[in-house]
Amino acid sequence: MTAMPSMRRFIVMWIAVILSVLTLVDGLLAYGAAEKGLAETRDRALARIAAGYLRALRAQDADTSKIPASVFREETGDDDTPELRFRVSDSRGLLLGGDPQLRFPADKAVKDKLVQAALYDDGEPGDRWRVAAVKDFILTRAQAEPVVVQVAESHAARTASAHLLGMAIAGKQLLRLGLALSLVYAVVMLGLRPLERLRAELARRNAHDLTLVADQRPQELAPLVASLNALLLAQQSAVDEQRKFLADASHQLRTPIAVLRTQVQGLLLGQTDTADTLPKMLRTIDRATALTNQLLAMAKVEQLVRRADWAEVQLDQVARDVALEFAPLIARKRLDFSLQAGPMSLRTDAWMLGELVKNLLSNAIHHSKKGGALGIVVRQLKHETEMIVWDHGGGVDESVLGRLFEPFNASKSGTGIGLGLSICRQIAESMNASVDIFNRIEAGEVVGVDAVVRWPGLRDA
Amino acid sequence: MHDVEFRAVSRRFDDGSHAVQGVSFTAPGGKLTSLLGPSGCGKSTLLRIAAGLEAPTEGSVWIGGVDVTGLPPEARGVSLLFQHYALFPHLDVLGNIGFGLRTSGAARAEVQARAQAMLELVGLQRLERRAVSELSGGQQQRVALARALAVEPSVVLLDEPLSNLDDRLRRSMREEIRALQQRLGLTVAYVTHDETEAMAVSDQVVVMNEGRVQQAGSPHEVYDHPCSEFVARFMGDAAIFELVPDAQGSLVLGTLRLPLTAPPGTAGARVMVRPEAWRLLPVGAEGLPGRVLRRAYLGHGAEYMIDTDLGELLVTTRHAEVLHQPGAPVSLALGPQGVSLLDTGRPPAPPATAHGARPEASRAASVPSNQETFP
Repeated sequence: MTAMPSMRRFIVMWIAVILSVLTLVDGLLAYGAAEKGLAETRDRALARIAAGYLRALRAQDADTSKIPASVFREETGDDDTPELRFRVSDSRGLLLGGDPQLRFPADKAVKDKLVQAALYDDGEPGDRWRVAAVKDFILTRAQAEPVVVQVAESHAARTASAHLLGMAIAGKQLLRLGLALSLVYAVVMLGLRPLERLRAELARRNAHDLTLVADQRPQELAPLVASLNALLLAQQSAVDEQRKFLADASHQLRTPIAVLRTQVQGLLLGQTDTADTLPKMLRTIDRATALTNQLLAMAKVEQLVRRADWAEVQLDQVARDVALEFAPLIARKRLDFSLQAGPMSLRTDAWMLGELVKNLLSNAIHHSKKGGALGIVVRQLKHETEMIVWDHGGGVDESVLGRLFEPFNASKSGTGIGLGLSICRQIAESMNASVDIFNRIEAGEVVGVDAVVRWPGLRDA
Repeated sequence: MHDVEFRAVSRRFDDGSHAVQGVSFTAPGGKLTSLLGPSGCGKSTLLRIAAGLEAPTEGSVWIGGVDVTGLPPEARGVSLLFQHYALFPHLDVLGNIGFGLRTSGAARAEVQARAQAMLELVGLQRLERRAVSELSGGQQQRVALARALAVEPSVVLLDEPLSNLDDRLRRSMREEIRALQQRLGLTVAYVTHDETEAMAVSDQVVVMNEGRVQQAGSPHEVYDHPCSEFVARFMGDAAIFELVPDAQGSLVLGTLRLPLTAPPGTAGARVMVRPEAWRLLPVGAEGLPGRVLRRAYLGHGAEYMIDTDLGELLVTTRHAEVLHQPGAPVSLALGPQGVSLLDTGRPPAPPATAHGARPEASRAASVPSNQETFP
C-alpha cells in the first residue's frame, strides 16, 4: 500500500513555502527601497561636500579635510567615510587643484546644471565613479573667477555599502521567518492534537473491538466520528446477523444430520422398517441438500455482487426460461400458469436474476394448492418496472409479512428452508431494486400472494 | 299539484351584476326539485322570486299554469321555510303552527284541529304546549315544517332547511321531508349546497353556477352524465381525462380502450370517471397498472389513492373486509357506471320534463349498460 502523505507535514510545508516566498519578496522590496535610499543619501552627501569645498575656497579656508567626514556622518550616521576624489577647475576645465584623473565634465547637459550642483556617473567600465560637481564664483586677485568643484565616489564603494545593507536586511528577514515558522509549527501541532489522539485511540483497538468511539470531539471531527460510529454500529449489526445466521445455519444443518443418524440407527438396530425408513431418509437428505444449495447460492451472490461484472439481461427471457425449468413441477400440481412479460432489459448477472425468479416462482408453486393458478407479470409503470410473481396459495398473515425476508424465518412457521426470500432481497438490493410480499386480494378476500420486485426508472428494451 | 315554471328569469342588481340570469326550468308538480350550487350561485334568490319576496327584473314565474310574477306572496299559495326556522319565541309549539291559519282568518276550532293534525304529521303530539326555545334543533325544524304545511300550500319552498342540524339529524330530517312530500303529493323546491342531500331526496336536481342553470335532470343523470367539468366536480369526486382516439377510432385512456365515441363535431374529448367506476383488480387481470399509495377504511367500504401512469387516482370500493396494503400492485379497470364524456355539445339546461327523462345526447355519450368492464 502506498504511504499516504502526512497532513501535518503538508500543512507545515505549504505554510513554510508560502511564508518563505512572502519573506523573499518582502526582503527584495525592502532591499530595493534601502538601496535607492542609500544612493540618494550618498548623492546628497557628495553634493553637500562639493558645496562645502566651494564655500571653503570662497572663504579661503585652507582646512577642508574635515568636510567629508562631518557631512557623511550627518547624512548617513556612519563614521566611515569612503574614499573620495576632488578636483577644482576653472570654467574652461583648467585644473586648479585636486586629482587630475577626475575629468572635467564634458557633457553639456551636466555643464548647464553646474550652478545647482550636478550629479552624474563617469569613468570606465570596471572603474565607475559617481560625481557631484558645482560651479560658483570666487574672488581672486580682486576679481570674481568662476570655478568648478568636483567630488567623486567610486561605485565599488557604494556597492560594498549596498551589500552590507542587503546582508542586514536578509538577516532580519531570516530571523523573522524562523520565528514565524516556529510559531506555525507549534500551532499546527496543537491544532492537530485531537486528530492525533483519535488516531492513537483507533490504533490501540484490536480488529474485533466494535465499541463506539467517544463523540466529544471538535466540531471538525464530529462528523467523522459520527460516520465512524455509524459504520461501527452497522458492522456490529452485520456481525450479530452473521452470528445469528451461522447459529441458525448450523442448527438447520445439524437437524437433518441428527434425524438421519436416528434413522440409520433405527435401521441398524432393526427397530424400523427399511421400506418405511428409506423414503424418509431420502427426504431428509433432500432437505439437507436444499439447505446446502441455498447456502452456496448466498455465497455465490455475495461473490457476484463484489465482482459487479454486470451485463444486459432480458428479464422476460429469464422469466420464460425459469418457467420452462419449473414446468414439470407446475404440471405435477396441475397448476394454471400464465406469463405476461414484454421485452425488458436489465443490467445484472443472468444467473443472479434467474435465482431471483426461481426462488419467487418456487415459493409460489410450493404454496399453491393443486389445480390452483399462479403466474408472472412483468409490467412497466411511469417511474418503475415491476415483476410480480403471484399465486393463489391463500396468502400470508399480515403480522409475519415484515419478517419474511429474515433468514430461516419462514422455516419456523412453514415447510421451506427459509433462505429463499433472504437471497431474493440480497439479489434485488444488488440491482438497486426492492422486493416485497403483499397479500393478493380479490373482491375483498385474500386469495394468495403477490411477490413484487421493483426496479426504479427502467424502460422496456 | 302545481308545476312551478321559471321562464327566462333574471334578477339584476343596480350595479349591473346578476344574481340569476336567463333561468328557465320547471319544478314538476308533486315532485321534489333541488336547486344545487355553490354559495352565491343564485339558488336562494330564485326561491325568493318564486315566493314573491323578490321580483325578477326580466322573465316570469308560473305556478299551476298561472303567471304569478306580479302577485303578492300571500296570493301565490306558496310556503317558504327558511334556514333559520323563523319561529315566534313568544308562542308555544301549537301557537306557532296555527299562526298562519289565524292570520288567514280561519275559525279558532279549525285552527286548533289543523294545527293538531300537523303536529301529528311531524310527530310532535306531546309537545304542543312547549315553548319553542325548549325544543331541540330537529324539533324546531319540524315545527317550522308543520307551520309551513298547515296553510295547505300548493308549493313548498325550502331554503337550506337542514343546514343548522348535525349530520345524523340531517339524514333523518331529510328522509322525513321526503316522506311527507311523497305522502302529501307536495310540489317542493329545495335549496341546498350539499349534493348528497340533493341526490338523496330529489326527483329532479337543478345545478346552478354564477346565476345560470348548468344542468337539470334526475339525480342519476346529473351525477353519472354531467354536461360539464363544473357539474362533474360539483356532484362529487371526479377524475377528468383528455382522450385521444387510437388508429381504430376508439377512445383510449392509458392502456384502457373505452367503447365510447365522441359525437361528431366535438373538438377533442374529455371523459369523467367517478371513483366508484374504477374496479380494483389483482395484477394479471388486464387493466391500468397501478400501485396503492394510501388507503382509508370507511366502514361501508374503502377508499384508495392509486398511483398510475395517468396520475394519482381516487378509487372507492365496497369491499372492505381486507384492505390492500400501501405499495401493493393492482390493476384498474372501469365499470359501466360513472364514466361519461364531457363537453359533448349538449345544451347546458335541457328542456325540463315532468319526470326528468334523460336527454338523447346523454345516452349517446354513456357507457353501454351491458358492458361490464373495458378490456
